[in-house]
Amino acid sequence: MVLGYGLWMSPNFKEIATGVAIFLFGMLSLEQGFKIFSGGILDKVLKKSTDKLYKSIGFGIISTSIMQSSSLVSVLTISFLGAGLLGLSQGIGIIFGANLGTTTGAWLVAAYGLKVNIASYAMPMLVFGIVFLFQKSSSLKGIGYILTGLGFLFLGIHYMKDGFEAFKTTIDLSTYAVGGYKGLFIFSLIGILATVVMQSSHATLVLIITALAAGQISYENALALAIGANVGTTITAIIGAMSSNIDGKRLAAAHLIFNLTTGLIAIVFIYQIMFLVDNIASYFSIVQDNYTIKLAIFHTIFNTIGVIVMVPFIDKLVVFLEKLLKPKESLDSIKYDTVKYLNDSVLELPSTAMGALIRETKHLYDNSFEIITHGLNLKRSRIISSAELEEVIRENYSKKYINIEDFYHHKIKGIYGDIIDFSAKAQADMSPEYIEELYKLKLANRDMVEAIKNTKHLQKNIVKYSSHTNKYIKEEYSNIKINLAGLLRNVNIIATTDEEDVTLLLLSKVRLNTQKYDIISNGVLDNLIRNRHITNQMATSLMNDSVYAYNIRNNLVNMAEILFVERSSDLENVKDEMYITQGEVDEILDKKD
Amino acid sequence: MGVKKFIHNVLKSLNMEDFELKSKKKSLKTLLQKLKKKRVKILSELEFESNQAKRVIIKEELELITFHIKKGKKKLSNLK
Repeated sequence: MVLGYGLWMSPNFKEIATGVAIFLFGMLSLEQGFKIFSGGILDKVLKKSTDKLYKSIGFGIISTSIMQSSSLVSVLTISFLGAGLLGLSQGIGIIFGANLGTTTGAWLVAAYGLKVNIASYAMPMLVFGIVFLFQKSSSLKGIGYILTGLGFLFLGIHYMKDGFEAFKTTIDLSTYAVGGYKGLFIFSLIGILATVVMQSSHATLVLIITALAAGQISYENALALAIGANVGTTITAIIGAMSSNIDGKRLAAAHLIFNLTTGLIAIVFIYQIMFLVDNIASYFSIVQDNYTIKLAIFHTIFNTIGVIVMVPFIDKLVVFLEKLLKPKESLDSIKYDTVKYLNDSVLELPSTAMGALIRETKHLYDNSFEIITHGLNLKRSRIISSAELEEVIRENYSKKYINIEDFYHHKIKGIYGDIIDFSAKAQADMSPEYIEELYKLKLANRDMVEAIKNTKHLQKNIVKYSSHTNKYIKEEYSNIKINLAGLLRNVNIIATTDEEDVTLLLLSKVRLNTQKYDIISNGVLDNLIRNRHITNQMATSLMNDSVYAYNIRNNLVNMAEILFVERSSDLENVKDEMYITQGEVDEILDKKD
Repeated sequence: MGVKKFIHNVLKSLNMEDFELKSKKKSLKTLLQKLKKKRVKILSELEFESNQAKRVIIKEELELITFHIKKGKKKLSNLK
């Protein structure tokens, strides 16, 4: 209502409000453009450039300086954290850096935006931006969004500048200036409020600088507004973290603590910082009444002080936040397992969504491995050891067989359902390459579920015939068990090794064994029946169960080929050329016969 | 000049025209080196293993790795 009244009453206010709206629209467009580009490379850059604190801070500074939006960087950082691509202390480092990077915006507007006719640059950017937006290529679309975004940003600044200039002739806002600490607190609160409403400290800062340049607000009050804008900007991260996991929430809290502390330091030492700004300005021969540049210097100084003060306490801050914000533990949490990495915050980028889905699928694999191992009455610790397999199968996990159905409901069904549901959501913003990768990942998930179901069918007879008096049937079921134990051991090695030659060798070995141990095709079953070593009932059971065992092997090797070959590795790059084919398996086995 | 032609010219000037093919060759070469090293390792394992059952398993691995080295070499020569 206030906004409507303002627009109705004052054409100048209308011009300023239009400028803010166009500026914010430009920010949205710019963010969209960077999101398109950030997809593939950002996760690779992140891994390399955030392993040390100074690198994280540097990454925050550079990315925010380029994207000109600390809000976007903080939301993306929460997204990466949610996907498990980053640790909390690395995330905090990026946020600290983003606070420094955002000061470049004040410099650009103060030193450049107000001095030249910025709108004349906006027009060609908008024209070319729109032309690129209509192209099919996603890269060109990304360029289009960035150009359009910059065009609207420039146009917005132009309107704000003009609005405040014209405002001068009708009303002088500077008469409302409040001095001293009282003014500092009031204008800081206004700065917070304005940034919360606009969701952009950058927009608030541009508004402050243009108002300051037009003499509509006093220098001291502009400084207070800038401090407020710095605190208010944390709202974007807080909103972003609401849909994130616990680490995302901790990061948003760290952002708030950092900006509140920095703001408090700036308010308490405002006169000392102003003195420092004056000295720096005179050192660089900046005229004393060039308040816009002085505001940019002030903005940089107080953010730098904040980083210097807070950096030594990052580890303590992490410990404090981990104690303060703990994951919710439901009464069922002991029994029911839920998703660890899937949350709405990772949907920000296709790469984070994919990263989270891969991690969640590996989580599902851990649970599946446990169920299949225990379902076959084997001890998991013995499977992943180097003990002889004959020994491993002799040690039972429990006296009676476990309820696989129950395990499935508690440890698989919910996670599997969430993965499929999340994939459908993530797919909406993905390129065809990502969609293909996602499809394969869904197949890997399905393979695991199928492997569990096959284990369930096999379980009863494995237990029954492993201790049977008929030595032939007992031996066959022991063979099935030992072969599956060997398969599980190999899959576990594939899952944990980072040596590509080992992965390729084991994948081929497992494929070969799948065919070799198929007693229907290798003639073992025919022999047993022909020589009357087993009854008809036993033969039927053995035939069905060998199919289940064959399916488990196939399910697990198909899953391993998709899930455990590292993306962007050499093996992934040449998998079509190097994976063993069914024809090659047959050829190798024929030679042996 | 169309956008596609422009991109093609840029790739050509940066010598990145058959980037995908070059990347595949590089990956194959790296993988082949690793496989050869692994083969040497398996051969020495076989030499010192006296347990007959284990020797059978190691021999199978040796056959598989030899198969992959041959396959890799063939694919590499096809890419050239």
